[in-house]
Amino acid sequence: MMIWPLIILISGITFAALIFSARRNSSQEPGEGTEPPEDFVDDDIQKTEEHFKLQLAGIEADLKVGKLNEIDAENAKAELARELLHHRALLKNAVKAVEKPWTGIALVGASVLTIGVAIGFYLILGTPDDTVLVRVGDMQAQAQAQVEMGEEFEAALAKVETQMRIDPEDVQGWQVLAPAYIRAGRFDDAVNAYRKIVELAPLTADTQTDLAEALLMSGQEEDLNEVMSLLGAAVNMDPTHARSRFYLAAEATRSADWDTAIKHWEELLALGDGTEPWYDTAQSGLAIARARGETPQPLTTPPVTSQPPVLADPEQADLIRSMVAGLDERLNSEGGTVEEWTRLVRSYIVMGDIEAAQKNYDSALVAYPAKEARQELDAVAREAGLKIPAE
Amino acid sequence: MSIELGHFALVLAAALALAQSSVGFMFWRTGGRAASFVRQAAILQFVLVFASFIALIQAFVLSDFSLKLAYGYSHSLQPLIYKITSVWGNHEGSMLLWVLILTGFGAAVAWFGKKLPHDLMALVLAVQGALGAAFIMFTIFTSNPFLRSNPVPLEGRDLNPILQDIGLAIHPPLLYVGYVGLSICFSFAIAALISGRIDAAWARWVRPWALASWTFLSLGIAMGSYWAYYELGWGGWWFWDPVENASLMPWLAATALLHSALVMEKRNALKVWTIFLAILSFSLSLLGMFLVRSGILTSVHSFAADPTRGMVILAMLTVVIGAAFALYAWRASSLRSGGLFAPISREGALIVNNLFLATAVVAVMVGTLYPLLLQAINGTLISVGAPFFDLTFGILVTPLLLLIPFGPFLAWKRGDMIGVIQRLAGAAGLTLLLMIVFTIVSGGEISLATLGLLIGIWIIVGAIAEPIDRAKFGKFDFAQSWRRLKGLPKITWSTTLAHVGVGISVIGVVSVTAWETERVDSMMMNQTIELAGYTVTMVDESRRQEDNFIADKVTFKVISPLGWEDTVASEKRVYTASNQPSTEAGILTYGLSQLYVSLGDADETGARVVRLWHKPYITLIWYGFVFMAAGGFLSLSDRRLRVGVPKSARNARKKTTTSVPAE
Repeated sequence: MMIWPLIILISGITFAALIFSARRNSSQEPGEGTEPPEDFVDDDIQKTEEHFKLQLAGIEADLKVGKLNEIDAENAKAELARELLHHRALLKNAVKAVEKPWTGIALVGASVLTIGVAIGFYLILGTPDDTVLVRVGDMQAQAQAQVEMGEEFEAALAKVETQMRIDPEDVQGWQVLAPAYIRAGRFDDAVNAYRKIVELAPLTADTQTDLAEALLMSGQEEDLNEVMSLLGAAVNMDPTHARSRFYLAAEATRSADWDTAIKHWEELLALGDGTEPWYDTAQSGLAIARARGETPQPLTTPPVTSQPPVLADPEQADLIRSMVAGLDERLNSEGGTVEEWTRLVRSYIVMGDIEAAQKNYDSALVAYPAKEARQELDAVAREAGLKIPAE
Repeated sequence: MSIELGHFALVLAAALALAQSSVGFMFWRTGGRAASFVRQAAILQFVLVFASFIALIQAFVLSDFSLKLAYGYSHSLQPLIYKITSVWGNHEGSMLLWVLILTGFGAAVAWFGKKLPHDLMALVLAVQGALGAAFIMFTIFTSNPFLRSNPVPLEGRDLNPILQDIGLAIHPPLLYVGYVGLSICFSFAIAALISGRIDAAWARWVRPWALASWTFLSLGIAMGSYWAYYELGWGGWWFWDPVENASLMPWLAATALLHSALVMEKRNALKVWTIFLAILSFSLSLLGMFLVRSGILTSVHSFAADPTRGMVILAMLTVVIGAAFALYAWRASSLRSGGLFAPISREGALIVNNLFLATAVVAVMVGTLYPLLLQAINGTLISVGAPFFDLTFGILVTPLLLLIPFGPFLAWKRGDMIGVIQRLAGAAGLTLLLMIVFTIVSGGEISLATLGLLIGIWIIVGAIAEPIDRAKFGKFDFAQSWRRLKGLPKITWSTTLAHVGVGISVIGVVSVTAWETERVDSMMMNQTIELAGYTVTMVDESRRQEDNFIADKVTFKVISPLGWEDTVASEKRVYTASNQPSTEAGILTYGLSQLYVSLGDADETGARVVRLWHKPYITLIWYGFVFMAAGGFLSLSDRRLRVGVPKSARNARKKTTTSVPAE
């Protein structure tokens, strides 16, 4: 709220300047309430007559340099004199300037009113506290600390959504929204947002893989063909794109297409130098594929490793981890719907953390013992190879 | 925070304008104290609006998209110059520029008008304050440029590609200075009507403002014409677009005002008419503003399609113009008529000038407003296009152009037409000789275009003849005449320059209208086509990526009729943020003529549609305006104040001495 001292300063300077102009003049002219002398009006006459004096000087100058002859100069002076006499007669008949006694008070009042009106209008129209504006940087910070942010994050998201309803063609807006939806676990919304990005922004391997990833997270089986098609297109567009290759290799492994899996793992490993977060996972995946599935693995769940295999973009991976951690903490402390438990388990499976997936599945069983209520959860767990209660 | 400070500065300026206006109107008779107050308020008001304008520029330069306006019309990858010009490439920002110039003129009157009588100063600034209050409040309440965006978008939506041009940096500010400068003449006129004091001194105070406005308006219109010519890719320089007409009408009225104010200053005549023109000129500026901003027109100039704004502007227009003309009707009869003069005199010539210009204003106004009124009344859509304007405007302007050289030769009060004809005989003979030579050399026949050229050359030769005549070349020895020529006042030279400029523009208009050639063809790489003796070959096609656009650039090799070899490129651009296309024409200038290349889309075979124009002497149109503006600036720099010398016809005929006719 640093702005108010500055507004007061500007208002003060303006007020002082207005008052000074009125006071300065009053010191040179008759005091308030007194009748102005004759020369008060004559001041105006004098100013206007300067015009005629200058014209007279011009005639004299022209005469001197020979631009006018004597006759023309005399004629010009005579006309000027007639004008001057008429002008004086006009001004003598004019109403004399009389300063009202309350002129000074009125000017001070006008100055005060000016400042008052300005501040009043500004209070209605302005945004004096512009810290309320949600900036992009702030939103990312909020996402990083989602657990603490709680409802505020949702509120920020709602504001962006409002803006996107006004301008649905704003690709940058969708780029803010899509990862935010992922963080919030709103995978279907994330899919929609990534679809808009693919539609509006120049097509890249990253945007296609982002959409594929969101589709994977939304967990709709019927989307698998589209996922594979997007990942394939991403690899074709950029053969060095590691993230799309990782998903292709994982899916080939899951579906026991060993030759394709070996090819993708090998090509992926050829892109790395051993320092990448996904490198160990890829090596394990290759080993499994070469062993023809001695240890079958679920979709996008290469051998369990301490390094989550997700995403070449570490920032995005961090965001997702923080989102999942937040959901984990909330569900285990406050409980939640079965859909939320399903989302949490699926997230851990996608991240490759089977141990955490199993632990949370077991917690969900306690919260929802009736198997009718957790059909989707059981399906996800079964597909990922988690231990589920006997039928 | 600077955005909010800018916002507050603008709001405070509005309050100051209200105070300035109220105090000015209430206390204009009470002498210096109130006058000092309104002077101070006018200067402070400008300082505050200037500060708010700087705040707006800063937000655009820093790509602070928390400002809604910056989000809507800017992009972080724009070059710096376009980030700045984007500030007024939209309705809200351009309103602030308008207000900045309005308050700037008010402050200039306050600052430089120290010699004005207190009552006149108070009234002029009171009217100026009322206009300032109306426009600033219109800006704040219907078109606020300082609204914030929450949440803050990541990136802006970019400016219309057509506006991403240096033209935006020049055309609107020049035009606005012209439009808004007329508000000062308006304020002086209203002050004169209220106080009843109107005399030669009044005209002397008004004339510089009218001259400055007219000069900038001329430059603004010429710049706009050239910008449209090279940017829109249509190859035209004037379209009789209603918005163009909206700038032409105040220009015509200001031209008339300039001449009638001259009569008033020198002869104390035409007072009521001069007041009328001062009110009319600014009223036409406001009409232009209404046409551009109300949304009733669809054009590249149309900023807004917001009916609320349109209604508010219409209300302002009605109040300002209605009140001004009501005051005029009430008070004009009390104004004392000025000096008498004979019909054949300098005054008479200037009245003829005024009548033709005023009628031309009416013709353009009818053609511009009639379709809009008809649509508003019964929904009928009609189009009044170039044929109407060419015919009506042409018929009205032709006699005026023919008479231009006569005016400066006539004496004030009572002229000698026979003497003037004798003095112009040489100029007329030279004009005819030049035309005969031109017709023989070009092998052409006598046509309407030839007659048009004749008028252009007649204006130029007639304008140059005036200083030569006044220096008495041929009557005195050369050295003496040369001294007289050098000693002529600046206003004589400025009149000559401005009139020569009119002649130059006329020649340009006639040439390009009559002899322009055009060819539209589908071209493949290395294919050659010919036009007006120029050989044009497509030699290269490439794609280039800039920060904010992708362009397909096609280069052509051009061989002129004289064998000169040049290359010229035209581009089709797509601005990535807004996905809007634009065409960049390629223009080659040969002397005063131009070859204009505009690139079309490629077809499925890879061939490009290419439009070629040869535009003979087209640059003369704009050079003419530069001459006119140079005349305006020269006159503005003339601080000498001169008085008309009443000269009897007998004296004028008899004297062959050193007498110099007054200008």
